[in-house]
Amino acid sequence: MDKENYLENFEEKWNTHLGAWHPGVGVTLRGRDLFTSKKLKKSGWLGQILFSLTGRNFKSKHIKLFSEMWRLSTSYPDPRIWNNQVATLTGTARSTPYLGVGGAIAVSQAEIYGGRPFVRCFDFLLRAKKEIKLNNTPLIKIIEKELRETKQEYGYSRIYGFGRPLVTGDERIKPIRKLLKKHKSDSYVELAFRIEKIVQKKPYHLQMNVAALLSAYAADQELTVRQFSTLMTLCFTAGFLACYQDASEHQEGSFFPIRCESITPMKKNCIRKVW
Amino acid sequence: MTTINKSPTQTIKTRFWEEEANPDNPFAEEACFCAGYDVYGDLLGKISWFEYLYLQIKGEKISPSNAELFENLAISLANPGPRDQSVRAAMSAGVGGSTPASAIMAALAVGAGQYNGARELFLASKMWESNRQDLELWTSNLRDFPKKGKRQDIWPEMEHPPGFDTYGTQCPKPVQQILDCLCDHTEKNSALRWLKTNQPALQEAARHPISKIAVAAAAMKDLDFTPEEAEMLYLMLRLPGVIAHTLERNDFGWREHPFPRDGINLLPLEMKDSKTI
Repeated sequence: MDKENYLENFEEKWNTHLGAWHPGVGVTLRGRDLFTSKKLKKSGWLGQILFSLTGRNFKSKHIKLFSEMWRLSTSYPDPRIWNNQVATLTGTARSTPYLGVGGAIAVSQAEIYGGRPFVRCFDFLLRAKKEIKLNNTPLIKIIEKELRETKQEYGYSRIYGFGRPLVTGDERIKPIRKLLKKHKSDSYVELAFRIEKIVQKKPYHLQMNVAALLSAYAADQELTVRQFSTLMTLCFTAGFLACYQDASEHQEGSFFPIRCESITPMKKNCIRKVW
Repeated sequence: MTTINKSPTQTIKTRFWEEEANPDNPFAEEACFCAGYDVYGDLLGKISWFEYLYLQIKGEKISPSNAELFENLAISLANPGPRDQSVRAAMSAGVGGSTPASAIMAALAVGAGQYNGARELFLASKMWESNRQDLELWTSNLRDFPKKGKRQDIWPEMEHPPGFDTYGTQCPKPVQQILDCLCDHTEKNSALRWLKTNQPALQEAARHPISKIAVAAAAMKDLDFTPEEAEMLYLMLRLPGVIAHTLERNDFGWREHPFPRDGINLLPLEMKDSKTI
């Protein structure tokens, strides 16, 4: 290993462009004064997060669009949704909202919704566009290849961003499509709609889900896949806060309590015996 | 050689842990000592898991009878069952294919609370500190429950006496079985035996049967754990069931998991401010 990578080099210093708290004086964030910077003030909280992650300024209209997409698509106040359940159960068990929201955020990086589809869809869109640009490969071929390769790698065929558990179709697509109506013809958003046209039909019968549009829009804003993954950790929190608070205002332990006979053991594994 | 010689300026003070560095690498341990014992050169292969856990927390050897008590307490807490809120939270993670750590985080977040959770155990343990084995103190505090706190804190007000089953009508059989078993591993004047003797009076004063938390609090007292230690141990000791039920959910998937489609009953809103709609 090169001497410059020895751990001792980092024992006393964290080298970063990000910023720091200067105790008693102030705070800098990527060279800007947190308290006096007009650009930071104008960007608001979500814009500041985007700036922190990327080091780039985002126009107000783009920040607003991120916020509005999250408001519409990932802030459901329904306690039954799996990640919301964690926040709800925290409330019903009389634990704290910090714990509940933390646990719920962690659970949101799931296989069938949330964090993993976001990343995999984003990654697929980037690879698809690159393949079209470099080799002029027809989109149908790219989709077929992705289905084959996901089957080999994951054991199931999937185009992330298309298809949804619990329900066919995604009620969020229509309002978000309206928000994105001014997208460019060579954008990732347009690519997502072109993919939808193909996979809606036989033999796939897959409807676009909101992960496709959230990922595509972020790709159009030139986030990297890692920046996008980090950004999306917050997207469900409005629903978490609401579900936690509502449960904490209900009787303790009263969130769909389950009786003993609801447990249905598989008989072959549960024959009574003595140790 | 991967290092540059240098003395540290940031230090971590510890009551019980020591490390000797590898001569070639100050960031790799050559030996680790817990309360003076060489962990990998002496303890490993000799010590049980519960003996090592107690050594880390208390800095001393646990007696053989207490080691048995500790282990039996851990077994009694190891699986709260899939109906418990903390296990359900973890199963929500399993159903969706969330990361393993997230399932445990979810279980800890929920299991930390004041309804069958670690915070309730903390409060029950605090009652042991203040009431000791004074039946009159216990019953008067239980009858006076709830006492309003003067100040708000991160934890809401308790809604039932700590250690008592708010929805119970009689003490569940497993709780009684646990109490009986753990009493067998303690001396005559133990907190557990006192609890068993005075269970009827305590339940009458609290107007609820005792729960597993009451038994766990008495056991933690007999093991000489402070309320803070008891709270953290409780969080950890309930995880085996969390792990088992989560792994099972991974296999069964979301289709086999309850989802009450018609379960939400939207009540009419009271409009407090018609201008804000």
